[in-house]
Amino acid sequence: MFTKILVAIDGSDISKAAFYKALDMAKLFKAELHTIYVVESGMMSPGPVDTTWELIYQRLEQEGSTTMANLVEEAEKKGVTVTSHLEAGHAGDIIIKTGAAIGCDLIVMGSLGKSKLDRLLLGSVSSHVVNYAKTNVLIVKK
Amino acid sequence: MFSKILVAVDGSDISKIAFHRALDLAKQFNAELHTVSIVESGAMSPGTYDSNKKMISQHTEKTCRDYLTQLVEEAKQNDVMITTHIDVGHAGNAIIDMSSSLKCDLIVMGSRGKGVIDRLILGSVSSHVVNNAKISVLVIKN
Repeated sequence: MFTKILVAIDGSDISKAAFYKALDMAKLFKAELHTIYVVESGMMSPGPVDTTWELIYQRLEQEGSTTMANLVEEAEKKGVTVTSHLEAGHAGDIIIKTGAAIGCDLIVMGSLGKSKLDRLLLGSVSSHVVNYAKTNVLIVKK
Repeated sequence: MFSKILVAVDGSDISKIAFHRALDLAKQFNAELHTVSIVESGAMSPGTYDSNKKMISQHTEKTCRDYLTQLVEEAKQNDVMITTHIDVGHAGNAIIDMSSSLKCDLIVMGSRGKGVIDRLILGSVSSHVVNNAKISVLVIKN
């Protein structure tokens, strides 16, 4: 079965649901569990970094580390060790790259992130990953 | 965790891998396993039902039934309860409809079916299902 699972989180409710699914699976399969949060910096135009960008970036980075720390703690209570990765860049690309770098055989993620548009059944990051990842992908919808 | 799994099979190598993954998952989760195969009739224009069309669909259906017999055999050897379904229509829609009428909580399918063009990392049927299904989808790539 799956031996190394990477779950992508962004602090949204659906990403938490994806995390719990991944946690259950890791426990059942005795698989290694990794979690990743990507600070989406791809949308910033290149150029000198001013204080506003700096603040936005710090805010996101902090959200990432807090969210991951909480989930990792919960996982440890259930007896599963989690390795967390905090990265920055184009979220879809970074998730795929990290997955390949650690050699995982399953990527788990929510169908949507923080964008809650109902008509969007599959968000852009999830769509990117399911299209371009070379490994298996589980899209969690609820 | 998942309690009712639907795996879409079309006879391609990758769908066979998807079937084995689904079988393992069903065993681990103690879940019910359903397979669905679609005789793709969406490709035929509406019109008189002539003997050629009849031959094509009869042939596809027969190939399908033979293939399913093998899968049922494998599932039995693994002590997994399995139900097979054959339907006719637009494959993507038919898979989603089947999953909702069976009240499944997970769809497992290959990233592409019999189309083996390399640059198509995600085939049209898989893409349709992952985009439009209301439940979790596991896309198997290897």
